[in-house]
Amino acid sequence: MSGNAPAAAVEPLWHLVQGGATGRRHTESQDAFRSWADTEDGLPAVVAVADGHGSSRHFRSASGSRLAVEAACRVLVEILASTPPTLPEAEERLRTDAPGLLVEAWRKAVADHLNAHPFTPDETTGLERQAGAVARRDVVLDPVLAYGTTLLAVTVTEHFIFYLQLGDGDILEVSHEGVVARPVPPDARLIANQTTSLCMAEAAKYARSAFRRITDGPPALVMLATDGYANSYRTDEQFQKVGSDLLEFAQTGGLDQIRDALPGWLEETSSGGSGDDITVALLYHASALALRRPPTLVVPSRDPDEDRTVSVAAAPRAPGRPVGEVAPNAASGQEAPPESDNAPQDRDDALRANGVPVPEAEDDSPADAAAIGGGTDLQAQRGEGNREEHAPAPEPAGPRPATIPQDVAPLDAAAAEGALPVRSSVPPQVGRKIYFRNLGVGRERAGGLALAARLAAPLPEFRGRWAYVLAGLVVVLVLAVLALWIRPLA
Amino acid sequence: MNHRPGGELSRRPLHFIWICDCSSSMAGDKIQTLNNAIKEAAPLMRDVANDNPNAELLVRALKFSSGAQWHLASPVPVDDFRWGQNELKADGFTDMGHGLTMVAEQLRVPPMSDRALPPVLVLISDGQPTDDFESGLRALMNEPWGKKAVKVSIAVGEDADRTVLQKFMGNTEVKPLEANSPERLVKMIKWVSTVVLKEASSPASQSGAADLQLGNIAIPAPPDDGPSSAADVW
Repeated sequence: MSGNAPAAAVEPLWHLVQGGATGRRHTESQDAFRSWADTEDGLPAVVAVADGHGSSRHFRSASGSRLAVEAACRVLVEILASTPPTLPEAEERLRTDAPGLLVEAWRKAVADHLNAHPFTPDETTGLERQAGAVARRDVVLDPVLAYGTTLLAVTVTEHFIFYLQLGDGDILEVSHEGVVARPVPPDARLIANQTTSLCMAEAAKYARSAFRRITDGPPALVMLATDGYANSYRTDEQFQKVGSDLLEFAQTGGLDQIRDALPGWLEETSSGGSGDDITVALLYHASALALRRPPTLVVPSRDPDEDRTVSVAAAPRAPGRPVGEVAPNAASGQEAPPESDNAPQDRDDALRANGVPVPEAEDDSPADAAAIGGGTDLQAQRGEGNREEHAPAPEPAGPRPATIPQDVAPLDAAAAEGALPVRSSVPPQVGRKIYFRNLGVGRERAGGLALAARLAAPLPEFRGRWAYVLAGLVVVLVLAVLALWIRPLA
Repeated sequence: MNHRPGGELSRRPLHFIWICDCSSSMAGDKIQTLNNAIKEAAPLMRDVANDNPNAELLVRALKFSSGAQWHLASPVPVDDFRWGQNELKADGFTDMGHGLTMVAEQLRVPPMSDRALPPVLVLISDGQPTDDFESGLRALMNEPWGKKAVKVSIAVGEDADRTVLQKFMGNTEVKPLEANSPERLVKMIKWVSTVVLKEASSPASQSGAADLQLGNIAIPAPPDDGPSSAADVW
């Protein structure tokens, strides 16, 4: 989480838990994981998992998988940043362009890596010793083979989820009722140990994807897993039970317990099952975790967009609660967020969370300016990765470009856990005017109304849409006075 | 904390199928040597399986002569695999195509699991098919697991049709294994039961070719006793 994020006023919409286990045959995992999220409002977020091939001719697959998850985050964020703000266009762009751009970016990264680290004699002679002269010839002629890997990626925004898969592995969606589904269409060819791969010629044509509009609410849980997980169960039904169990465990025991137990579970699963590397990324939607809170009431209003979740007997937020932890509903009015030095920023985020764009020019903190539109690598956030990235300051006008993660982060399963950063405690407002607030679209609403709303924001009862109502009344009143004043003059 | 999520864990099944020529030309020394060799291979297979606790080795056997039938119809866990009680007997024609068709039926999903390891098919023959071999092979290759299977053939004696045995194996660099003497047949059976089985039981993932029909594992070079010698009796 960005150090300047106002944790007191907002809570994450998605919570990320990640873990992995190294297979029996490997001294180190050839899987990789990476995630990215906007530091300002937590969305969009991209999570990617890759499984480097274990065969001897893919002797650099650990690097290949790492480059793949980095390329996935970069490309998907770039596409989001440059996509017109309508769902059909976003779907078209992601479905059509993402696979090709991703493969291109990965191959470029592989070429750069190869230039910096040419094959060593040990690598090539070792390959010939293990797999024969033909394998060596193949790799020398097409060095990308050495980096072969699969890729699973998910992009979550306020209005849609985009899944992208190339090669084996599993993406599961779990509904709030615990029903497990596979959003990405199956590929009947992916049996045994052969898989489609980023290293194949025309790899993009093997990509499978799914675009899910969040019209009836988001899934409770999205799970990405390398194939070592599913291969550890006797049947697919037994494997899919993982999804419903993980949802139930999170709701009854909390995410911290899942984080603590996940590595052990995966070790046990690999050992008693496939014996393969396993890497898992879990994205829990806050609304699913809210089920474990004290009873809540959903207070309907005439405008369905205005429904609010009201906590009943919500527990106070513990000081120093890690951002990402499920916290009492700040929008309920039952618990006012504690005032802090970040109060002005808190107010801005509350405005944004309620759909009120706050002009960035009004952000007077240099640190904030760097954070807005900045990309944050979640691995880096958790300390082990020692990186907290800030993008250059964004353009002052027009769609805000999402920032592209540039660094190369080693896979560290222990580091890869945490929560996607801040979002309002207000439930997703499904059905309202569609725009990508995170991309800066909708900013046209900034102006007099936003300023009035901003001024009204300190009063909790006027937050959100009520601020607009108040501002509108003020504007109408001023216009009426002006009209009455000008009329006698005319 | 909660128990581990998900259902019952399971090792990945690895189906190993002996496909044996029991035509009349195999009668006598050949069929007896084959019986003995498979009997001796059973404990070796158990050793290989024990070395890889993540594979569940299941053994079957099919015989073809005038028609074809399963000699061991149900997949037998390798720990329970015994050969001595019901040995193969030779008589009749060489309906290899029929045999492959029956194997193909068992490689469908279901009854096969799509999470299995690539099956190992070992075809042992001393003659030429007397039925439609091509249609049998076609049926086998029409099944995804037929394509993915690790296919090895053993040519028993000089009259074996090496062309069809090579077709069965596919376009690999490895040729049908030569077994022109009892000792050589035993050696090849043991080699398949150990070296090939070991490779198949822990296959590393790899990218597939465009049609995903490449061999699943790199079959190691078989033991080479050099050119034919006076020891060759078949």
